[in-house]
Amino acid sequence: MTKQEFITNLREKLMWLTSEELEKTVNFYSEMIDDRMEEGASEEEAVAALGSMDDITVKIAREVGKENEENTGIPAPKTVVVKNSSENTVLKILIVAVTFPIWFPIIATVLSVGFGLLAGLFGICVGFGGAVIGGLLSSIRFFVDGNAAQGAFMLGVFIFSIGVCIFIFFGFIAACKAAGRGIKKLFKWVKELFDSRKENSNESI
Amino acid sequence: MDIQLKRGLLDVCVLAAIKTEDSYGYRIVKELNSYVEISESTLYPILRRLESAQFLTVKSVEHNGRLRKYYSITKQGLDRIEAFKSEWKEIVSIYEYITREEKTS
Repeated sequence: MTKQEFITNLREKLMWLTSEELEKTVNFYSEMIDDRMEEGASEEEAVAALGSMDDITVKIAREVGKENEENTGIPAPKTVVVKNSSENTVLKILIVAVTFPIWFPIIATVLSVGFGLLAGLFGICVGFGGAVIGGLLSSIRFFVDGNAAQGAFMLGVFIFSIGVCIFIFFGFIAACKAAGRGIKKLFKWVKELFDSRKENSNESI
Repeated sequence: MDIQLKRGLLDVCVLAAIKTEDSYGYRIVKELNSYVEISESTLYPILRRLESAQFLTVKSVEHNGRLRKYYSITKQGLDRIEAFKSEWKEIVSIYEYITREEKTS
């Protein structure tokens, strides 16, 4: 980890501190990294020597929190926020089950429309693919038969179809990719909804 | 070492590290590590605590184009070390009481 990455990370984790307190803390660790680097350590080594980010933030939270608690009676903040408890997860599953008749038709409709559009695009692509082959063959036939005007027209159909075919083909690929991304995002969102993080405990000084 | 015991000792150790001359964070860690294991993450809360208890003062000094914080012990800080020394005598007598049976047996 670079010094900048460490500092950014530290700032994010200690956002609950007052700005004065946060600056003091950042300056302290920044000075420690600079002093180690001045002694010959690389940037990565100097950052690694400070130990784990969790250890640093837990100790600060304990000290500052204890002080605030003494002064104001407000309990110290938790360094790791517990996003969901198990009861929360049960409640969410229940809500999802109860609202099934509402969300299932919506999702099914969206997926069907999406799939229909993709299939339609593919169909058009195949259709123009046929026009390409047909255009080429009939144009050759017309030219062989000495019918130059009709041959030229079919050659035009052939070239036009190739153009449309390429255009729709790339459109189809892009639409497939977008659909893939959309489905992936949907799964990620559902996963995050049920994801629960445990609180860290630290018994060291 | 017991965590509670070490916590109390470390506060006095940090004061002892700046007793004779002002020092900065990294030097304090290096110096104390020859006697007791201490990391930056442990030192920082101690320095904060000692500063708010007015056992030490902090001043920024320019060093190689950047600011480095130097910690100086105050009169109260020196008194704290003296208080610890007399507390230690008490601890030694408690220790002797705890181990008296081992000695006599």
